[in-house]
Amino acid sequence: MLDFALYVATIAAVYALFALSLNLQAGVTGLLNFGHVAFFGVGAYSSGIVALHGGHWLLGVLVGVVVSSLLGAVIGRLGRTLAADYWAIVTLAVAECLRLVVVNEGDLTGGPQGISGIAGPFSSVSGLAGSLSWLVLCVVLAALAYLVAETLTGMQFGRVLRLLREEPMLAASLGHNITAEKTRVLAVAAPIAAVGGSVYTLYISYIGPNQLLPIETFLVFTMLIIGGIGNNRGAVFGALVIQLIYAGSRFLKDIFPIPDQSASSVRLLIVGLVLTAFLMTRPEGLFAEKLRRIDVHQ
Amino acid sequence: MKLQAKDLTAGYVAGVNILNGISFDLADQEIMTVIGPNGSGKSTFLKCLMGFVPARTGTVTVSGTDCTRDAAHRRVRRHRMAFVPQLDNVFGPLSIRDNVRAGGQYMPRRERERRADELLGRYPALGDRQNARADSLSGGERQLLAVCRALMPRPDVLLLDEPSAGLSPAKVTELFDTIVDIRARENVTVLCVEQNAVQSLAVSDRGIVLVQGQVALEGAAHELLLDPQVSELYLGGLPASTPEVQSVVKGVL
Amino acid sequence: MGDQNPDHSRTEAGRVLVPILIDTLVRTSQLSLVAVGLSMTWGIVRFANVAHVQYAPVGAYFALVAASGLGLGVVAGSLVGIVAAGVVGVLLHLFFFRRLSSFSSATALIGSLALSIVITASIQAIAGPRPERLPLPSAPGIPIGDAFVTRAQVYVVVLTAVIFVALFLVLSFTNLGRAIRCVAANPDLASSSGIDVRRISTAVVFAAAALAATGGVFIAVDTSMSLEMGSTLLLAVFAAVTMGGIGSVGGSLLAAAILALAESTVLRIDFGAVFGSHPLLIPISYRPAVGFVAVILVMLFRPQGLFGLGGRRA
Ligand SMILES: Nc1ncnc2c1ncn2[C@@H]1O[C@H](COP(=O)(O)OP(=O)(O)OP(=O)(O)O)[C@@H](O)[C@H]1O
Ligand SMILES: [Mg+2]
Repeated sequence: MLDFALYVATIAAVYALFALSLNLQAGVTGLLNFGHVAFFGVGAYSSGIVALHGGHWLLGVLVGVVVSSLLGAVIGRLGRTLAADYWAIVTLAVAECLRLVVVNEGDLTGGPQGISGIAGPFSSVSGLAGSLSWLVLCVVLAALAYLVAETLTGMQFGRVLRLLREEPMLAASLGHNITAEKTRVLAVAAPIAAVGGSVYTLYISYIGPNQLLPIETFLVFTMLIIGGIGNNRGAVFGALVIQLIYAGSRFLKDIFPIPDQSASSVRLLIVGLVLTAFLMTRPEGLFAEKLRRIDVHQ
Repeated sequence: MKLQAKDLTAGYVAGVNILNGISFDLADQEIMTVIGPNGSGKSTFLKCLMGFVPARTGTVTVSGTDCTRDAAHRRVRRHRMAFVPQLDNVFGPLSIRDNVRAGGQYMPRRERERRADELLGRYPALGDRQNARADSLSGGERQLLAVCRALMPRPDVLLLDEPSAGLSPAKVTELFDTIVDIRARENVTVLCVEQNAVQSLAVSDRGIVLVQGQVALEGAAHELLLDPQVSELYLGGLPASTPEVQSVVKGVL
Repeated sequence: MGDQNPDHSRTEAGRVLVPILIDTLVRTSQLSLVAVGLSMTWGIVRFANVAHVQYAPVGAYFALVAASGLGLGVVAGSLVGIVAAGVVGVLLHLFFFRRLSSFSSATALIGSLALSIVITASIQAIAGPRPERLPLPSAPGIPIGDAFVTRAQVYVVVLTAVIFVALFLVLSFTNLGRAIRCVAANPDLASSSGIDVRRISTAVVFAAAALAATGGVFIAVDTSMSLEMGSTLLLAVFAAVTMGGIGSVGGSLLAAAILALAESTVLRIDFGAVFGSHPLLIPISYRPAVGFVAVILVMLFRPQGLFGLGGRRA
C-alpha cells in the first residue's frame, strides 16, 4: 500500500512537469499544442535509446533536452503564419508522425514492443529507499519546473506572452516579434516535458509507442482545465487530481464488476466526462488565472 | 413615426454600457445622419437597432410595432428593416448575383429574379459582371452591392454603417447621390452613420451627434451643419461661416 | 478483359493499375464523405472540430446495432444509424459546442478533443475493443482483370457519386443551398439578409454528421468498424478539408481523391527502381503518414486550399 502511494505521488510529480510545460504554451501564451506528447516522447525515447546502447542515463536526459528544445523551436516557427486551430492540427500531425516512426523503426526504437529494462539512477537502490529516492527526485524536479515557470510568467517575458495570447495584433504593433516569442516559449517549455519523459521512462524502466498516443496530450489538457488554465499552481493541482482519479479507478474495479478489458476505457471515460463538465460549467478552472486587465480600447 | 428608439442601453461586457439611454425618432422617408467620434458607439447603436447587440433596457419600434426582442433575421423579414454593416458587408465567395439574391431569400422565385434584374440593371458596375465573385469587386462596388442586397426585399428602413469609408472623394459624392436617389425610388427611411459629416448632413433631413453612447445634439441637418460646436468637433474645424460649408448649406436650404 | 489481351505489357500495367484505381475510388468515397461535412461546418462553427471524424464510428456502430440488434437488416439499419448520428451531431452542437464557443474558440477546440475521447471510450466500454462487421452476406468478388472488386465497393463508389451530385445541385441551385453558402461565408450578414442562421446551421450540422456517418458505414461495409476508425481518419480528413478549401464541396472531393491516390500509389512505388538500386518500397505501415505529411504541408504552404475554392484566412 505504501509502495502504491509512493508510486502515485511520483507519477503525479512527473505529470506536473508535463502540465507546467503545456501551461507555458497553451495557458500563458495561448498556443494550443495538440502534439504536446511529442516532447514527452522525445525525452522518453532519448533515454530509452541511449540506455539501449549502454549510455549513461544522464546522457539520455541531456539528449532529450536538446532534441526536444530544437523540435519545440521548429514547431514554434511553424506557428508563424498559422491560425490557432491550424497550428493545433499541425502539432498533432507532427506528434503522430513521430509515433509512426517509433512504431516502424524497430531497429532503433524497439518497434511496437518498445524498450524495456532501462536502467535509471536508482537502479542499485532497492526497496523503500529506492522508491523514496525517486519520489524526492521527481518532486524536486517538479518544484524546479514550477520555479522556472513562475519566474518566466512573472517576468516581462510572461507579460509579453499573455499579451500575445489576448491581443496578438497589439503585441505585434508594440514591436514584439510574435514568431520569435512563440519559438522561444516552445524551446523553453519543450525540455521541461522532455525531462518528464526521461524521468518517467527511467522510473518505470520501459517506454513503448502506446505512451505517445494523442490521448496523453488530452490528459494533460484535462489537468490544465481542472486546475485553471494559465495558472502554474492550477497546473500542478490538476496533475495531482488526474493522477488521483487514475489511481482511484483501480479501486473502482474492486467495488464494481468492470471487466478487465474495459477498465482503461472506463478510466478514460471518467476523465473525459470530468473535463467536459469543467468546460461546460467552469472553463476557467478551479484556480482562475488573475489577469491584470490591460484596457487596450481606451 | 417610422423608426423609434426609447432609452436604449446596450453593451458587450457585463456592467459596461456602450449605449447610455438613446432616444430618437425618425419620420417616414427621412434621411438621418449619425456622427460622433471614433468609439462613441455608432456601430453599436446600429447593431442594437438590428438586434445583433441585445438592448439592456429601452425599446425599438418600427412602423409602430415593437421589435426589441426580435432576432435580426426577424427584424428583416417581419419589420422590413435592412442593414449594411461597416465591414464584411458582402458574401465574398458568392457571385454578385447570388449576393443580391441572398437579400431576397424569402421572396417568391419569380419576383426575386425580377427584382434582382431591376437592381442589377440600375447599376451597370454590378450588372455587367453579375457572375463574378463578390470579393473581386472594388471597395466602392462592394458598398453598392451591399446596398443592393439590403434593398432586395423593398425594406422600409435602411441602416447604413459608414458607407463612404475608404472611398475616393469622387466616389463619396456619387454614393450620397445614390442614397438620395434610392430614397426617392424606394420610399425608404435611411439612418446613416458617417464620418464624412458635411456631405452626409448635406443630403440628410436630420442629424444626431453621438458622444459616449448618448445623444449630445439632435436637430435638423442644416442646423447641425451651422452649429459652431459641431463644426469645430466633427466638420474638420471648419468655421461654420466658411464658404465651403455655406455653399453646402445653401444647397440644402 | 486484360487477361485475354495477348499484349503482355498491357496486362502488366493492368495488374498494377486496376487495384490502384479500385483502392483510390473506394478510399476517396470514404474520405470525402467525412471531409465534406467538416468543410461545410467549419465556416459556421468557427473552430476546428476534431470530434467531427468520430461521427463515422458513431454512425457505423449505430448501424450495427440497428442492423443486427434490432434486426432491421443492413440497408435499413445503416439508414437508421446515419440519421441517429446526425441527431447526435445536432444535440452536441446545440447543447455542447454552442455553449463552449460562447466562452472562446479555444475552449470549443479543447472541448472537441475531450468529446473525441469520450466517444472512443464509450464505444470501447460498450462494444469492446475488437473490430466488428456489419452482417453482410459474403458475396464473391467481381473480377476485373486480375483484380477483384466486391459488390459492396461498387455500391460505395456509386452511392458516393450520387450523394455528391445531389449535394452539388442543392448547394448551387436551391434557395436552401444559397442560404447555406451565405451562412458559411458570413453568418452575421446572413441574418441581416433575413436568413435564420440558427436553423440553417442546425440543418448543416445534421447533414455534416450524417455524411460522416455515411462514410463510417461505407468503411464498415468495405472492411470493418473499430474504435480507432475516427482517430485514423482525423488527419487525412483535415488534410482533405484544408487542401480543398474550407467550405468547398468540390474541393473536398478533389482533395480526397488526390490523397487517396497518393496513399495507394506511394506505397506501391519501388523507389529502388527509381534510383537504380535494389527494391526499396515504403512499408505499408507508413500509409497513414501520407495524411500526416499532407496536413502539415498544406497548412504551412497553402492554408487557403490548393484550388482557390472556398475561403479562409491563414
Ligand atoms: N464586440 C465587441 N466587444 C467588446 N467591446 C466592443 C465590441 N465592439 C465594440 N466595442 C466597444 O464599444 C465601443 C464602441 O464601439 P463602436 O464600434 O460602436 O464605435 P464607433 O462609434 O462605431 O467607432 P468607429 O467610428 O471607429 O466605427 C468601443 O469602445 C469598442 O471598444
Ligand atoms: Mg463604427
